[in-house]
Amino acid sequence: MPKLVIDGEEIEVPAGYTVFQACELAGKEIPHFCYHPRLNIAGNCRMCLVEIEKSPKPVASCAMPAAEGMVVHTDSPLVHKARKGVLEFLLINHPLDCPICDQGGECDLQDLTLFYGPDHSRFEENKRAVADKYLGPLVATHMTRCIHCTRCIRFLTEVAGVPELGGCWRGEHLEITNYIERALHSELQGNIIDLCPVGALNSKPYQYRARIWELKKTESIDVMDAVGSNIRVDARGNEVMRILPRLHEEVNEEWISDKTRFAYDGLKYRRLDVPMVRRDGRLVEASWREAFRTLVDRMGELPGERMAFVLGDLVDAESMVLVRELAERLGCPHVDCRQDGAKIEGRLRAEYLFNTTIAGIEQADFCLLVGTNPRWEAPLVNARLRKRWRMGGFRVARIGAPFDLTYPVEDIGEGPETLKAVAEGEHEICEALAKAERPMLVLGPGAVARADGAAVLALAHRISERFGLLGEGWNGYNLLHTAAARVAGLDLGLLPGEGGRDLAGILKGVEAGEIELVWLLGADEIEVSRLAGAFVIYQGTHGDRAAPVADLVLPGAAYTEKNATWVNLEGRPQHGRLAVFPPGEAREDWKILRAASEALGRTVPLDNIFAVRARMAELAPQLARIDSVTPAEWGGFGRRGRLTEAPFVSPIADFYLTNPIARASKVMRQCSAEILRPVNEKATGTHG
Amino acid sequence: MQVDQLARTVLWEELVRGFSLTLRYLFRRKVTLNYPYEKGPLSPRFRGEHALRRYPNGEERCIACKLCEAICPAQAITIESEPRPDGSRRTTRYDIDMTKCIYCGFCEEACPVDAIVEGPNFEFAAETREELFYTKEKLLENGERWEREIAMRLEADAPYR
Amino acid sequence: MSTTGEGMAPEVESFAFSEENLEKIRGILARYPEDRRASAVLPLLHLAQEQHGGWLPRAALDHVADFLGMPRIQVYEVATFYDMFNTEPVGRIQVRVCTTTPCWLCGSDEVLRACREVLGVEVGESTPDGRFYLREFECLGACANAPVLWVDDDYFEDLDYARTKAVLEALKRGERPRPGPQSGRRGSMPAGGKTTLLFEEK
Repeated sequence: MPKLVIDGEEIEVPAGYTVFQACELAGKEIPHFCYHPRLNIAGNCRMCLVEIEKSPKPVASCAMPAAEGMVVHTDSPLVHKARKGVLEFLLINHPLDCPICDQGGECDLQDLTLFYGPDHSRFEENKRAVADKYLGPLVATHMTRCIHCTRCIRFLTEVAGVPELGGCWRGEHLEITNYIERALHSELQGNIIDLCPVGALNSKPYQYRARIWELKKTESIDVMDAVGSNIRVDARGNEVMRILPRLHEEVNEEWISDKTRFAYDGLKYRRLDVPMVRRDGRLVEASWREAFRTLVDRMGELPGERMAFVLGDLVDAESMVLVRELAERLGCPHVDCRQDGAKIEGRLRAEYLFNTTIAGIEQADFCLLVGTNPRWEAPLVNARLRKRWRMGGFRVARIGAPFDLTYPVEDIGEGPETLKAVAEGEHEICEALAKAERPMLVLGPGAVARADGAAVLALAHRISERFGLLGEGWNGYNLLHTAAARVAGLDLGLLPGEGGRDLAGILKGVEAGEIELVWLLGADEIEVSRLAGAFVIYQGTHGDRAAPVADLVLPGAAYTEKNATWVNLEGRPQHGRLAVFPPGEAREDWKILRAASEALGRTVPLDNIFAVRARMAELAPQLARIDSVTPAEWGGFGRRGRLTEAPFVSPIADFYLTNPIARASKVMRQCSAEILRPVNEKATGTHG
Repeated sequence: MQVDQLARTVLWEELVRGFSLTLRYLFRRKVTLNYPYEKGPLSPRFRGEHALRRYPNGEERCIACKLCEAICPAQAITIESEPRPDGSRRTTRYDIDMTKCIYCGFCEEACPVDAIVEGPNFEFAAETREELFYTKEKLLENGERWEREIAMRLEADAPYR
Repeated sequence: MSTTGEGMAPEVESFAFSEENLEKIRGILARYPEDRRASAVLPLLHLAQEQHGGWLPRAALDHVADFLGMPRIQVYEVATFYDMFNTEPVGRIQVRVCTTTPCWLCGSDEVLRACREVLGVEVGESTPDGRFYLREFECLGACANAPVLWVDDDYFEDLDYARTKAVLEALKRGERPRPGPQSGRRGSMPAGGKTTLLFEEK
């Protein structure tokens, strides 16, 4: 623990700290461009120069280890002169196009120049100009503005694990480029926009559309996957202009996936903004009054067991409380929140949670992935796994389809038979599993959303108990969800009740004419063609897959348009907040359900969001503890049964088009076409 | 005292003084102008009707930086922007609500490219409010109409900036 | 040379090391530990460049990267960083003029002028017949014999306009002029004759 003196104050810092970190600990702000706490140290911007006594020259504090007895000055005339000099050099080749630069107003170079920089340049030669690079449909480049901090290179190489950017040429000709002028292949690439301290890398969809001082910033939660990334929704007027990450060490650190960041344009297209009723085979616009009249006509007299509720992937917890209450009052047992058909029983919380927690991954030393492709199913969980791998001493094995996860993975099999061999201790990986101190197992949707899912769960349960995945303060059993709504749905018990049918049963019931009415709450990823025999109510945001077959469409609010709760895969409830208002006649989903219950004469007496949340806390007390993970009790789950031979396949065929919002997004479609298609072509050998 | 007052009254002193003043001004140089046939001189800094200027090659100057929108104390300016097909940053909408505008000239001061200027024209009274909601087209048209004068005024004022 | 991008260099479909080079590569790789194969990137790039007529198409860079199991971008970085790798097609005979200060003081401008005149191309260009490639180079480390011209593997030193012309014209005729100082002095002996050690060696 070295002790050093910073600006006259003595401070003791942990061993291994740099002078920069020591200064930060002492509360001194050191200007910097290239340094980033989550990336390796580069030390190439020279902005963090400080004076250290007995050192002949100013020292780059980010790259200097703090040592015993150092006397550091961060505010001396020498330091100020050094900063001024560095900024003058950086500005030599930096264009003065702040008025057209999207970074203007949130630019590190702008801010630091204002605080520390010179008031004019002495450089009279020509500035250099660099050709812009093509990095795909997400990242726009203005390479003349680049100050070569290499944060983007380091991020892609270290955090994203997709080393596609580099510094080519040298000296004055140095350029940050991917050299091949093709789209980057990382699903975390949007983060380099945030990392760029200047305007060299900008968001392409947001380009030139707004200035930051016009934006209304709302802190919210992402629903594109089950990670529950903390986001900030920036809106102008009633339009979402961009989405940025918010720091949450235990969930997304400060990264978000590209789907989270760029799918927001899907909120503008194909929206359901007015209730619609099917008349003479066509959906026609109607008023809420008419819509409810149709609802009552069809539903009012129908016995509960002849109707069903299916919940989609983006539904908030409040709406699910209302669905539960409404279904109870209607006497409807056919409720299912597992639209992917996962065979989760939901009796035991530990069964369906990511028990290790995302931050807990960093403590694990062995990971068995079963039927999951975390890179697409939960990119930030994958980033955490990669982070753990980079620390060293981490072995990852996989049962399932091979896929490049950006870290080495041992493929030990593709189907349930391998899992069975592991559970029975017959597989060679068992030795490593048994030896591991904190092993973890990640069961993906590809493993449980299949006919033998319950048996797979039982095997996972057996592995967990047999190989010490459950220890003191450690639970290595994890289920990885892809839907933001799933954990809340399971927590609130939106599962088939007494004599109720699950999704497969509902579909069969519709075909057999036993179920006459199906209420889809944002459920688009089901076989909608099989619903033809029933009266379908679609309540949701987009005219995606289910709305066209619906007989009654109730327009709901998307995740940026309501105050609501989502529970992430760890079981962490978080509040999303209203950033813009729902379009047209669309309303918050729980209010629609509340109004419907009244129209049906079975009023759910929850009149405001506080009442809904109070009821939610009664149903599942853990959901009232916002932003905290309530550890789940271990117990028995899964059902022994016959295993099929079919290999595990991740349900996500296209990372960019997994939900109605993303499918409506032009940017996501472009990504799918430009980033994924060439990869697929290459895989089939028709390219190159 | 009373005699004095009496004398003034009898001699119509006020009347004479009044008429003499009138008579004097009858022979003085005129200070009024026969507006609108005659107009007074305007300072190069006069802040009149707004105009959006173009470069000599016809390219519009405005780059949609929105600094004028941000500085406008009356919030009279509304701008929307988008990348143009050639990749440059341009406005798709540039509206000034002339009924809100207080003619402070901050927009002109804030503009980094001398695109929005307050020209010499002050005769733009209209019969309806709608006519005073200026759009980008109207402002560019103003720019074309007044460009010569605006350029001269900017040049005349340049040494003092 | 500062702008990259496709369209600059012609697309080359594929590249693979020849049998002969693969033999050499085995020897090169033997010098490095198994998990440090990437260290062999420089010698491999030299081989690839030699094999591909003096320049490295992207296919060759990709091949080297895949061969060594390193990210492609790292090979691009290396190949563009070093001046001795060409990422665009160049003439077969590479004429490099040193224009760093000592050579410039001794008249590298004249050398460059001679090169331009004889070859009929500007710096950074290849002759239309694809034989010669003219470029400037930073210090070649032969300042004692400045100015210097570097052609393929030979240094031609102590040049002036006329001598450069003579060297290049000989090259043009397909001859192989004698490398080294063109002024007649031996090695780096003082240009004006000896100033010390004037006595005869016994």
